[in-house]
Amino acid sequence: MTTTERPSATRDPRGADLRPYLVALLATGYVLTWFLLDAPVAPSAPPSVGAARPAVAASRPAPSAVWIDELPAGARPVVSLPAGFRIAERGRSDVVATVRSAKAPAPVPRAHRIRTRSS
Amino acid sequence: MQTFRAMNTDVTVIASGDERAIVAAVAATFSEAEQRFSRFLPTSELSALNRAEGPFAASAELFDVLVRARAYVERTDGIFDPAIGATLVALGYDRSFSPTALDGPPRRVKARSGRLRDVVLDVARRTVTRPPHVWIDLGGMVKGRTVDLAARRLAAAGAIDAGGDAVVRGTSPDGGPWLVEIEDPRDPDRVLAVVAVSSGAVATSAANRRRWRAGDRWRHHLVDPRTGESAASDLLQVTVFAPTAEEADVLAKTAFVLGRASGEAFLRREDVGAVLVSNDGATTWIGAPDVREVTHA
Repeated sequence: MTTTERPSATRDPRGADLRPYLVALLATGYVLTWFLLDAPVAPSAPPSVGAARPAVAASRPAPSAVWIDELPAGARPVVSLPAGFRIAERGRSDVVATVRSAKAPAPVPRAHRIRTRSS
Repeated sequence: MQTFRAMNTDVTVIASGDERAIVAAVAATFSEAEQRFSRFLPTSELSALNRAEGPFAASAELFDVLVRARAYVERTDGIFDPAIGATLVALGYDRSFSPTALDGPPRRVKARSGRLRDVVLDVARRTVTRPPHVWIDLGGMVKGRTVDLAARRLAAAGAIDAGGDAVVRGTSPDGGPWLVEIEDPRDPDRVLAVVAVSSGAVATSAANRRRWRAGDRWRHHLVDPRTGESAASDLLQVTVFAPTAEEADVLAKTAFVLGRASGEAFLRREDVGAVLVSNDGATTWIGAPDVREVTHA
């Protein structure tokens, strides 16, 4: 008696095996995209970052707003500030921000004043 | 720092510790005082006194204020006198003040002048008997008194500022003395000088805010009991630094009514710090307040 074994009617096993890899690939792409979108545009950025940026930039819309200190000095608009106002600096947690804040003088808390007047 | 509204002015409280609880206690103090001493509230005890005929059984708080007021009358030789209620009404100050609310036609009815000395204060019975023509207005001292009472709620360092009548205790939040700005009476956006105060009180009197038109004449709330009219003073403003806000309040009003020469002499006798601004713009410093900045000479 011959027993013939027939292959089971299943999907290509390579398809099932590829799904986790596909998910991992998509997740990696998502994370990379997220970091690239959040990274600053720096004129002195290393070539590898600069080379990757145009590809990412081409795939996302232009930002609606940029920090004025991100712009090159020659491209910054002239801003007329009301008296008592100054251009604020972003609070950043990276090394550049740490160096920048170390150079900036610590704000002196303004003493509270009582105004005496007729009322 | 928190601010609330009371006695028709902004009251700011700066306190260390449980600020919320302190502010609530301060607000309650102001509310109780307003309910008791406002002549604009028909339900106040003061209004009841002003309507009463014969001896009026006063609360301990009202009687205490009247006794203190009587002492100030003697101390200022009658220049400070709360028995001006009828005069104020005759001048047009017949409701709580707000800009233009008191403006009206000229008033030709003059009230008979009242004197607190004519009011009988029976200490044993704690009754008050006033002549019918004498109406009492405690606006000249109650705000300062209330600031003093409220300041007892401050645990340690802190400040209470009620529309410019203020008490400060300890050090300010930055660790130094409290800095008091003296407003320029000619321009509320400018400051005449900044004075450092470690602990004490300050009050300012001027005719630049609480004033109204009666026909083509300006009238204001600082009444001269000698004339029964708004004081025709050659001073724009008087600021007094004193141990209590009540005292600063009374002395500032008195000096304003007296005018520059007599007011200066009066304040020097009282041995308090003060800043007088005259109509001609001159500034007179009395005592030795610790001045940090001066904008005008």
